Amino acid sequence: MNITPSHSVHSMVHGVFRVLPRPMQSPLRRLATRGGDVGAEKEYTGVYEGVGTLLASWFPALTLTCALGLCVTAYAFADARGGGSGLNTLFLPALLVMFTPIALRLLIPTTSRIERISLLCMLGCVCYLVKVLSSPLHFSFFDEFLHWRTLDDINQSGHLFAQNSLLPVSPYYPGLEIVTNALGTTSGLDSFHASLVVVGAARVLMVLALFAMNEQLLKSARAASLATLLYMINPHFLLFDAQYAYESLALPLATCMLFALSPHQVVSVRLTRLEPLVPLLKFSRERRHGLTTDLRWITFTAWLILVAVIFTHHVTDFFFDALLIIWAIVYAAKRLMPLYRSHLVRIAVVGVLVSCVSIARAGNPVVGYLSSFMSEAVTELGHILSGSGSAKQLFVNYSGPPTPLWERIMTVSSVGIITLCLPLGLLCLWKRYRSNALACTFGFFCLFYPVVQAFRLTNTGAEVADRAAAFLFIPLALVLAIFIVQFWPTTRLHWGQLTLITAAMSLVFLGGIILGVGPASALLPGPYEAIADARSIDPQGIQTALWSDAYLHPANRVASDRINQVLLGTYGKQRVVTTIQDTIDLSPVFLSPHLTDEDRSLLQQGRIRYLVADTRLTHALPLLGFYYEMSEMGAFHHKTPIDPQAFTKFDDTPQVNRVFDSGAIIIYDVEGLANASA
Amino acid sequence: MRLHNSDLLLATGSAVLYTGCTFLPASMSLVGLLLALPMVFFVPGYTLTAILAHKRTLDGSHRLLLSLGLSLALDILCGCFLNLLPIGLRALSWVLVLSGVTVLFALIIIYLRRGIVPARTPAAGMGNGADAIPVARIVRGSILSAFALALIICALLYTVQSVAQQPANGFTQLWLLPPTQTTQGCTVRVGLHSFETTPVTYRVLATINDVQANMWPTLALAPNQVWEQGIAVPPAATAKYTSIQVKVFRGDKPNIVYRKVNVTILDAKQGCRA
Repeated sequence: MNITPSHSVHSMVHGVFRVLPRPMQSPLRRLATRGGDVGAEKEYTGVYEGVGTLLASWFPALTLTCALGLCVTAYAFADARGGGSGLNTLFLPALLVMFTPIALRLLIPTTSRIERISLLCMLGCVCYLVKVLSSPLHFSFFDEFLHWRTLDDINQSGHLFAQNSLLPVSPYYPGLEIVTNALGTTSGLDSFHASLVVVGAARVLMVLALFAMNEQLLKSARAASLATLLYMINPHFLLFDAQYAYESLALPLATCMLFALSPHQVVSVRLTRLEPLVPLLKFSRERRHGLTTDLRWITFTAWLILVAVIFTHHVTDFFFDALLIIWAIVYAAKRLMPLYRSHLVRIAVVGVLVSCVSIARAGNPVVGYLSSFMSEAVTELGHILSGSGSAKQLFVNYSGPPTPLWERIMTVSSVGIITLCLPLGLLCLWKRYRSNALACTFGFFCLFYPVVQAFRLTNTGAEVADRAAAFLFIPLALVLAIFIVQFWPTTRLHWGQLTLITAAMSLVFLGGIILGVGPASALLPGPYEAIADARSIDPQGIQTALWSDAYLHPANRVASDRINQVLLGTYGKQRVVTTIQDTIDLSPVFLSPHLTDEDRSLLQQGRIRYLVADTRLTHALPLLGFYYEMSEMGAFHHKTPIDPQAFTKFDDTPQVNRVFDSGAIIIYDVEGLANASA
Repeated sequence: MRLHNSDLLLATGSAVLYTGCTFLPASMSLVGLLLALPMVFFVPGYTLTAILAHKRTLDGSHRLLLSLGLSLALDILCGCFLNLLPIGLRALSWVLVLSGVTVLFALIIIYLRRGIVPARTPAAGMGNGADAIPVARIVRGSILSAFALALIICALLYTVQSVAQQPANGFTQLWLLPPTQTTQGCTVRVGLHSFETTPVTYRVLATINDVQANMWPTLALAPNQVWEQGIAVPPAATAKYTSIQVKVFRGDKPNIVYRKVNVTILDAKQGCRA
């Protein structure tokens, strides 16, 4: 008997079932049976779908609930700005008001396609507006300042690739800034408002692209809408991917490319089957011409968008290059078409080649930038696994009380539910969609989700787990949607099941938000906190940076803490000396109680003209665990704030001029010190 | 022009108006914004989609998606192209390149569409299915949607207002800038900028080598008011260094130094060098 891979997997799955305890065997056998049920999803499509249908549906009512949720969020933010506790009590319930009714509506089989698309677009936009409400008048997230500097350089010079010491890799990936420049210069909008519009457009693109791609794969509007909704529960959807940063545009573009490519398999298989008939039938020749044109259309669209992605964000580019390669391999393994004739291989090869050219551009620091970060994270993880290093304490808050128990439970539940459902979803995918190479590729990428969670135990790599979520949730959401659709078929669906699934999705959504927002809601409005990114941006810091631009003139070499660095580099237009650009760690100059010869040497090496000291750092612990650099002495283990003597030492040092004092922030002119050393 | 090219007529018209908007005065920026939005985010991608799928019927959501995605991709590629030109990424170059691309694609699609009979599609809001929907439900839905939109706008306006009125601790900036050479010797510039929430009275005391040089006993500044003065530094007779210090006291706490700055000048006779 000929044993095919599907037979062997089938027998392996049943072998695993036999090993499991008896109470678990029954539901899993039922899942295995339902997993391959092609009739699980019954479509309820109306004859006509238009604006009238939409207005007569639940869409207006659900828009109203979203608007109410947004109003409550606005009130919670305003209360938090005034020092109130509204954020803790109102923010998450407001998000639930927006998310849960839409989740329930999308689960219902009779909802029309146009209503699904409209609800998803509305939820995506409302989530984006939550971010806008957090800071409606100026940039506030750390990464936004880094890209604002690149945008400002392009606006000033009219050309790309100027140096940006805050994020040296950013000018080499200027896609986001190019679009913002196009809108800003031709419409008259300022940088901030132009950026809001660009990221808003990217958000709409992301939702539409996800829905369309999932619909092409799953052949069901309901399943596609669930997959898109499940993508929105990833920790970075609400805030991180709504900020003005290159990933916010690159990810929607890349997803749009996947949508363009998704019919590739169907078209190329039809073309292959048609080939033997072409010499015999005239109709076949015309059909072949049509399919060949379609393939060219798919390839051209994919190339165009892929090149745009390559100019927009490095990690998105690398991830999707890898996805294309794996897809091409799976495609070849399924013997759907010889490799040398596969358009998919051509697209992947072009993608990799253009990426390599982009990396090889003179001065592009992307390899060093990513490899140093990744190697540090992997090394730390290795030390933890080998027992030579200690794991990061989870749910630790470096500057205040620990994360509340309920938040911990929700976060763990969120990751736990996804991890538990993942194998079940993969089983359904194998039973139902294994003939589709892209679906299988998605299944493969899902396996990385539990793996990257291990990085949460490291200090430097904790960000990897969060950042990977935005990418891994594209396949993960599809797999989870397949699980929901196959395990609870529409023909047997009842309100109890709908409630259960909605509750689980809402729980995972809230857990993801708590994960994404970070310790003590660092990304949300509230009173000033030390080194807390958005919470540390205050009028005093901004006015100091503006003063430096007006009175010290731009492009002085300055050194400061994490927050004042970005303010001085953007509002102040100064040349900030950073470890990432200049490979000089100036944190000892600020942290040591006395100015040592080593400190003077560092100032000389960095050719520092001004030091900017924020005395508020002597009163509070840093929320992110470090004041200046992740590599500074005591980073992530600070028990007391910086010794005030560390700053007052500059007052007692000859040749150091205290040129500016705004109470909290002091600027020292250290040119004399640097000259004396020289 | 045939009727089934009306979309291209609209696209080309947008491109022409977009080019014209470059010459609008700044006061007409709303018109510029209304023209820039479709030209940056939709029209170039729409015309390219029309070329790529000229023999296929695309679903409305797919057409919208591709128009948006391809427009953004074209913007990025056009930006890279403009970077190679001396003019760079400026308003005029953007308008010309995006309009040029749109018109070029429109001409190509007009050529490709020749001889193709357009398929009849029901207009939006019309059709058999729509007739079955009670008008009352549509009206109710429209009212609810309008109310929801009004609520969202209110939430945004409320937030903008709450940020503008966010309680913040007032502060005052004091600075002392490095000296500049004058005929009488060196002059350093001292300045105060009040960001306090109420008018504040200050006392400013300047010393040169610990000897009082200037004093401004009652300096009243309203919020956001700036005060600047020059302090002449005579050449020192004996000392190599001349130390200038400025202290500021608030009227309500006259004995506590509120702000202080200092600059040391190296040999004022030789020139003004901090």
